[in-house]
Parts: sequence; structure tokens; C-alpha cells
Amino acid sequence: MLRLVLRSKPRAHTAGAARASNRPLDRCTPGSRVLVTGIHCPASEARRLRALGLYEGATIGIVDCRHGILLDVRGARLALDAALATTITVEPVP
Amino acid sequence: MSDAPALLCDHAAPDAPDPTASLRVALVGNPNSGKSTLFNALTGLRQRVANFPGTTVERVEGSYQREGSTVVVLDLPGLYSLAADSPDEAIALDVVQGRAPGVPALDVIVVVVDAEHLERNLFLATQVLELRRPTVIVLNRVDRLDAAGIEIDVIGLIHELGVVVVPVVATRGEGIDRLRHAIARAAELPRGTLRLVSDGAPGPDDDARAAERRYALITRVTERTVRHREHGLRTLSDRVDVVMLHRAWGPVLFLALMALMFQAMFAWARPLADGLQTLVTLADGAISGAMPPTQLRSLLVDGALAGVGSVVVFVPQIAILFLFIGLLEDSGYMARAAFVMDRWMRPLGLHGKSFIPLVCGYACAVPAIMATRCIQQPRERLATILVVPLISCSARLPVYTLLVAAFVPAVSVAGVSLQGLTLLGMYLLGTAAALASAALVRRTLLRSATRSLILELPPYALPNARVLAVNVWHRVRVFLRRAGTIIFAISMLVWALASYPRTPASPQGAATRDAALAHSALGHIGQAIEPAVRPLGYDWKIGVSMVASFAAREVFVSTMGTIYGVASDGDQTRSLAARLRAERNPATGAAIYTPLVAVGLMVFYVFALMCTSTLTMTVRETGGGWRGAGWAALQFTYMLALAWGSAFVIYRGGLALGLGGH
Repeated sequence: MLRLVLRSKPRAHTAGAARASNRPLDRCTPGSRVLVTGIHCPASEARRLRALGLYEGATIGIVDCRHGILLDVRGARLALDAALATTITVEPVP
Repeated sequence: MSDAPALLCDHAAPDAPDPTASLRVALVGNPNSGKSTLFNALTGLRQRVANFPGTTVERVEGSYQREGSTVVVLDLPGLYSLAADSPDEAIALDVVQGRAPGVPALDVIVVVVDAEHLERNLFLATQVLELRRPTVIVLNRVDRLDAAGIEIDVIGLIHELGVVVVPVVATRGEGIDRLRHAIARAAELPRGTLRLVSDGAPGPDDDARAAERRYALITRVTERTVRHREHGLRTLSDRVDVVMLHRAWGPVLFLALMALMFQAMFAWARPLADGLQTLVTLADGAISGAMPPTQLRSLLVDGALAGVGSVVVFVPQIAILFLFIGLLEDSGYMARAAFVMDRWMRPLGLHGKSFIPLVCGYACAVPAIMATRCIQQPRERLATILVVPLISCSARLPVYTLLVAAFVPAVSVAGVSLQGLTLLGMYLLGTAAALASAALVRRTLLRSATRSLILELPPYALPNARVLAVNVWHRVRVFLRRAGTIIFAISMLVWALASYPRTPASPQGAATRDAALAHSALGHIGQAIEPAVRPLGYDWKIGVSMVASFAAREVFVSTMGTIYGVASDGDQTRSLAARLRAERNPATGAAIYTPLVAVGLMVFYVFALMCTSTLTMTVRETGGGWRGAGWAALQFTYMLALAWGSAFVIYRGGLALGLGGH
């Protein structure tokens, strides 16, 4: 998990200090809104996620994370398994 | 039913292009965009289902008449993008680009867009617009916009995208005429004025940047044309999902729904199946009464009618199964079920979506194998296909019922009937074997990482009765067509093998019936395989019934009936169960059927793949040709080995423990 956070570090200098608050998607609380900063799963799955509206730069809502994770992606509900959620890094949106 | 399992489709090769077609149109859209409903609204019942050449990807085609000419509409698989990650997507991409073998070039592409999720749906729509083909965008479900607090400026959208945008409500048929008009004129209209995004060379970074650019473009378009009155509201679906996706209640509710489906297939289908059975019996009586007892009568009654009848009685079950699957799918629950069950299926190496075919397997492995189409990862799908026939289907029920009634005492254990417990035990044994085999196959032969679960959960909706009825009808029709040909042919073959060569004189009577059967080709086959079944405690008659039941398991019961001379017209006073109990070995005088033999036989039927239809379906769904035949052969062999081995262990183990008596 830590490695994933570190992996997204090289991009951090471009975005300034805000990137320091990067965290994996599965560590978010329900009801919060987050900005997607990195997708580190295999390419075909990343492509599918992007086609479904989950791309780097998208703002999404966390609906539920009791098992797997349920997201609000531009009004649609997107369900991901927990392992996949750990490969997506986000930062909170105030 | 866009994301989904299981259109029961036929073997027919796609027909030659309709020469009278003046316009060829393809529907493209996200799963859950209402594409199939729109397809039904456009084409009505004029549809046919086949496969794209050399693939298992469905080709659903329909047509309508407009101004004296035929418009042919192709319903392509649901897509989120034109990235071609799965076979479905690759085919759809080839079709829209006019590169698919055997599919004539398209005149118009219709992109179906869910108005409620316009931004997300425009991802695919803008990719299609980049192809610069005549395109019409359908804005479906505009009736839901008010409730969702969304306003869309359709004229603005037409200006922004530079193509025709037609708002429709496919479920109510609203806007369909306007759409037909737009399709007819599309070829003459401009092909998009938007400066679009080029995806460039493939690569993770390029893909990420291309997606960002595309969404930036979509955001520009929607900022000018879409207004959200409210945002981030907790929808009714979210409130329902609090219960449906609950850690404890979710699986409980899912199992309750599956129990209901199970109950429907067994109990509710029974009166209908009995009704059909009565019709078959009446026809049997009518033919028998009208014709002298000749070989022709035997061919008609014992061959043709018995064969067709055994197929027709399954229709209510098939219809109810698909009605249920349709209800679950169209109401939006199916995706939730896959999400809820994913956690439980993952340790077995299967995807959440594998659970649905496994449940369908309790009715019949044929539609269950069709239902595996919802699993995208090929190895997960193959593993599911290989283990589905281990789930006890309804055709095993007659075999279990006969043997349980004959050999399990009708006593109660702690208030529960021992007969019922035995039956339950058989079902549990099959289920456990299927799950264990899946785990084994996924760790050995079909090893791969389990594909991540990425599922869109559509909002809950009330299913449309007409759409459901059309889908059920298509599946039943195709089932009848296929089953009616293959099973019919094999029934005739079994009849011929059991009837020829004939003994010189064959007066009626059980003893001579025995002799006639022993003299027939089927009898010779039974005697030839007797050494193989002898270690399990069976005689050649059981061997014959086993061979005959290769056509379909329930044939075991009817063949035993034939062998033991239980005539269907009721002139025998003793039931088949009683006759089995009374059967003695002529040499030793010992009972042939002991409870131990019966239990061994039931377990044999739990595991053995005695079903031609299932094998045919496996061949077709695992790639067809020699490749498919190889998987079917593997499936048949491992199940037979499991069946024989278990029956052997039970019989020999039982004997060693001194359980061989009555």
C-alpha cells in the first residue's frame, strides 16, 4: 500500500503540496468526495475504469465501503472489489 | 437485459444478408443504457439470434419496414468504450468499422445514450463520432430527467456534437417514429463537426491522457447543455442498497431470492409440466388406439412421441428460469447479486458473476452454460462451464425419486423424513463437488488472476412486461428448436437400438421382453459394458439404462421401465420401485438392488454427465469445433471418473463394512 503511495510521488512535485494527502481509495470514509490522482491497476482494467468515468482528475463520491467499495461517479453507481480499490489513489476534496 | 447472460441462441449460421434491405443500422451503447429495449421497440418481434461467425458473441438482428423498404437493425453487445478489451468489444468495434467478416457494411450507427448519465455515456458516443460515419444519437430515458433534477438542452447538444440527437422513451415507445425518420435521413446529414480527441498510440500514460482529454471535451459540452438542479442527492436506489448490499442481510436476501426462484422452477412449473405431460399421454393413447401394434406405431409412440414429450415437459421450467433471470436483470438487482456474492466466490477463483450460472444449474445445465456469457474473463468462464453440470439439475430428480422411493425407508429422523434428507444430501453433494472442482481447476488447468470486479449498479427499475415476454419467448423457441432436433434424434436412435435386431417371435410378456432387449443392439452394448459396471454392483440391465440415459438422464427411469416391463397403460399392478426391490440374481437368489447399490447409483448420477444437450452446449460455448469438443470430452471424462470412482468406493466400502444386505 505504502509502495503505491510512494509510486505516485514522482508526479507530486508538479502538483505541489496537495499531493502529500494522497491515499488509497479504500481508506476513504463514506459520504466524502475525492479527486482521483492515480490508477495503478493493470492497463485493461484501468481502461475500463476510465471508460466508466473513473479517470485521473475525476471527482467522485464514496457511497459505501462495507465490503468492496461503492462509488458515485457522475451520478452512476460503480462497484469495485476491495483489492482493486487499493490500487487507486485519491485526495480529499474539501 | 443488456449486460447479460444468456440469450438462448440457436446453432444456425447467420443468414445471408437480406437483399431487400435498403438500410443497415447498428445499435451501440453502454450496458444498462436501454439499448435492448430500444431494439425491441424498433423491431418488435421480427428478430433472430445467431452468433458472429467463429465466435460466441451474439448477433441479434431485427428489421422494420419504412416507406416500402426494409431497415435491418443489428443490436451490438453493450460497450463502455471502443477499446476492444473483450471479445464482445472487439466484434462491436469491427462491425462499426465495417471490418467484421460476414457482416455487411453499415449505413447508419445509432448510439444509445442514457440521458440520466449523459457525461459517462458520451465517452463511447464521442469515440463513435470520431469514426466519421453517419451517426444518430438517441437520448434514452428522458422521462426520468425530471425526477433526477437534470435538464438537457437537446438543441444545444445537437449544435455541440454536430449530429442528430433524438430524445426517446424506449420503454413506452415514445420518439420511435422520430428516430426512424432520423435514421432514414442520417446518411444525408453532416457527420459531426466537433473537433475530437485522437487516442494516439496505446500505452498506459497515453491512455490516461487520452481519457483526461476526452472527459475535458465532454465536460465542455455538458457544461453548455446540461443543468443539474440538485446534486449529490441520496437516491431511492441508494436507500434500497443500504439493505440489499448489507454485509449480513445482502447475502441472506440474495439466497432468499434464489430459494424463491428454485421453488418457482420446481413447484410452479409442475402443474404446467403435468399439463403438457397429460397432452403427451393423450396423444400416446390416441395413436395407440388408432393404429395396430406395428413397428410403425412403436416408432411413433416409443420413439418420436417419447422423445419429443421428454423435451416439451421442460419448457415451463426453462420459461420460468428465464423469466426470473430477466426480472433480476431488468430490475437492476443482478449486478447487486454479483457484487454481494463476489466476496464468497473469490476464494474459489471465480467471479461474483459466476454465481448466477451455478444457481441456474439446479434447473438445467443448458441455460446455465448459456448464462456464463456474463463472465468476461475467458478462464473464469471456462471453469464455470466445466463445473456447472455437477450441480444437480431437474433431470436428475426422476432418478433420485425412483431410487429413494424404492430403497430409503419412509421413516423420520428427528422429525425430518429420511427420504427428504437423502434427496437433500444428493443436492448438497453435487454443489460441494462443483465448488471444490472450480477451486481445483482454477488452481491447476485454468490458472489466472481473478479479474477485478468493476460493475456499474444501474438504478432499480420496474421491468417492462413486454420486453420480458419477448425475451422469454425467444429463449423458449430456440430451446425447443435445438432440443427438439438433437434429443429427438437420439431418442429415435435409442429406440432403434433397443428394438433391433428383433427376436424371431416376440409374444408379449415381461420375460420375453427381457429376452428381446437382451437380443437387441442395446442389449449387446449393455452386456459389453457389464464388466465396467460389475465392480459397482450393477448388472447389465442397469448398464443398458446407463447407456440409454446418455441421451438425457431421465431416460434412465423410462429405460428401466421398459426393461422391467412396466407398461405405461397401467396394466401392471406392481410399481417400478417394487419390481426393483423384488429383482433377484437368477444364479444366487440374492437381491440385485440393495440400498447400498441404490445409494451408489444415485451418487453415480450426481456426478456423471449423462446429457447430450449439455455436452453439445459445452462444445459450442467453449469455442466450437475440435477445441470445443476437447473441452466437452474433458468435462465428460472427469465427471465420469468422479462418478465411477465414488460409486466404487461407496459399494466396495459398504461391502467391507458389512452394509451389503437389505
